[in-house]
Amino acid sequence: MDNDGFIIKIRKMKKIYSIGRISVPALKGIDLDIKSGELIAVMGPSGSGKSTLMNIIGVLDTPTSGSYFLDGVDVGKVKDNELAVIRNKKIGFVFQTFNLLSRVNLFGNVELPLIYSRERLRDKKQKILEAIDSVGLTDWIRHKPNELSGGEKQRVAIARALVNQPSIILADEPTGNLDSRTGEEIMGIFQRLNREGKTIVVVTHEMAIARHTRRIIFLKDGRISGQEMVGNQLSAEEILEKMPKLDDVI
Amino acid sequence: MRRLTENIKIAFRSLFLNKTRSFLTMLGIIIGVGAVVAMLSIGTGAQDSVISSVQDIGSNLIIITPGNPEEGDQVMGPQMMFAGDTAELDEEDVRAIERDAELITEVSPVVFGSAVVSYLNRNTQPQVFGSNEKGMQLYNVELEKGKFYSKGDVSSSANITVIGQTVVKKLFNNIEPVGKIIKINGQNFRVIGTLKSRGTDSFGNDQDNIITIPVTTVQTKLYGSSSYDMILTQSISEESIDEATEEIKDILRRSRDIRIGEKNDFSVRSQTQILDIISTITNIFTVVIAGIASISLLVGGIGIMNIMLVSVTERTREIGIRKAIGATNRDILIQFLVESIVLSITGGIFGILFAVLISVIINNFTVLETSISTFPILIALSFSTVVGLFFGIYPAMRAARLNPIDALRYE
Ligand SMILES: Nc1ncnc2c1ncn2[C@@H]1O[C@H](COP(=O)(O)OP(=O)(O)OP(=O)(O)O)[C@@H](O)[C@H]1O
Ligand SMILES: [Mg+2]
Repeated sequence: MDNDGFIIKIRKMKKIYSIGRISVPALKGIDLDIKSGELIAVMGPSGSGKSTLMNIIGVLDTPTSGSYFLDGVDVGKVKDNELAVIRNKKIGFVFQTFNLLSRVNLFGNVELPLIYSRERLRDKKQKILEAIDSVGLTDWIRHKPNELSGGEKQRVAIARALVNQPSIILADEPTGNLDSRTGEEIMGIFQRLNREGKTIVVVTHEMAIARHTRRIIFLKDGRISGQEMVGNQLSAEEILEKMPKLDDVI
Repeated sequence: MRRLTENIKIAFRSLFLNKTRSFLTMLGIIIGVGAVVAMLSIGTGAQDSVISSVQDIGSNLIIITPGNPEEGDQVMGPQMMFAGDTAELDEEDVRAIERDAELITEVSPVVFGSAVVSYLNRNTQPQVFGSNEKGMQLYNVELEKGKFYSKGDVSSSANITVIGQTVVKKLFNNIEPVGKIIKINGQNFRVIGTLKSRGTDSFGNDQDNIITIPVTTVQTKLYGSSSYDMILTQSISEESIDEATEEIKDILRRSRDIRIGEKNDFSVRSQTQILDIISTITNIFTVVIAGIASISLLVGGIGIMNIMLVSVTERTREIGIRKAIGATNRDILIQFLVESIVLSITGGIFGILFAVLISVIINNFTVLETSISTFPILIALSFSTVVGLFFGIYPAMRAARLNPIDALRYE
């Protein structure tokens, strides 16, 4: 299957939730192509279907109709078990609410995708340590999530998303629960990962966050209402440099 | 394999996280397994000692008793072996066996009883065992000192006796008993020997509290009867024991004029048959225990299922996270299955420890002897595994079937 350099190809995708006898159309026909190595933001009002779209892209959920090709594979034809393998190998998911295992320490949380990896891994420990190091949390390795701040938790979640070296990272409002400085730090990590070649999709409410990406998709009422190529992309690194540190203010 | 150890780790972690809850959940299994292993250990202990005391009696032994409970109603237990009271055994029967039986070696009539025995101002009341000169040999009792009574002593109804160790202790206390004259039910008897100690039997009876006297003396001078309580004999070899039993039956039917079609009015049993009866009894015991076991394991299993369902609900979000990260339905199924098996096996192990404790206590503080063998332990462990598997499968399937998105949304 030729995928023309598009890692994600979505056609006429609909998603209808049914609660009892009521059916809620969350997506009403989405066409979307994402190139390998892109950094994209998805924006839109609450209830417009952003999370629904992300869950389907992340094969956590299946569309009601339409087609979805991921890396040339027709996901609609893949069995449950293989979907789990795709989630494990190709996709790293970062949630607004972190979704870490509270009973397990940082190392254990980051290790999780490798536990479910079907491949024999020799340098497993090395990989975990590298992922933790890349988000700057090496000193916290034996701590449990409830001993960490929100920003640190989100960095653990990113390390977990990275550890199995997926080609796509999906982040659903990763900065929604964080202050602007911490949010900036998270976007800095995404920009760096993007430079290293990862395809990244970020859902956000804030234009300031979206402007860190190269392309913004606007969703409204279950449809794509437009898109914008970001002219002067913001660099998290530069902003962080200019931002006054809390210590300086006080 | 690595994932299995991971699952076992997860299982133990959640077990420790809710220590009280885990313990209460395991209680059913602990009690079930504990009770069964403890009871089986008491059972095998009792069985072992009953069997060994039956074997102590003497090898190739054949016991003839009057009456025949077997052909009337079923034999229910060892106490019935001496039941039945119609026809008596007497000298005629002994003579017929001695004359005609070819597959046996020795024959001795036996009369049981008890008597008051005294020496100087001390007295005691031992069991009386009346037999001929072969009796002790048939009964596997050995002499410690002195000698045994002879054929001549038996035919002359001599007032002589050979006494057991308990009687020695009670009457003589450091004095040499052999050669002394003691009184048995008021009559003078000479002690001509003493018996080696045999300890207690499986029912806690002192086997040394016994005196043995020529059977003729017991009949004529102590009890004044002409019948025997039983006749002991011995087959020439272990292989011929069943044949010998049949031979004796034939001889006795002939000598007692029992017509074809009529029932025997006596019973002939070999040691093997007695052991068979014992094993029938212990089998019934085993079935009863198995019943108790399955009920308590069932109750314990339901407890485990209940707690696993709670655990699945509590950890819905965790399941969602694991699935979002690449766990398959099977991974989740195995995780929860391992957890319920770990729960029930841990319960099983505690149960076994509990049983060992009980059995040690029983061993030290009662006359019962217990013996814990590996077999009931293996059975208990495999049953608790099966319980964990069986009652864990439904909650684990519920967990495995959860949709990742719904699970992640769960508050
Ligand atoms: N599991 C579900 N069952 C029923 N309806 C749902 C479900 N998930 C989402 N919806 C509905 O689908 C629509 C789109 O929801 P979605 O969560 O995708 O919105 P969103 O753009 O992510 O909003 P927000 O910015 O608030 O996160 C909403 O109307 C929502 O009520
Ligand atoms: Mg959302």
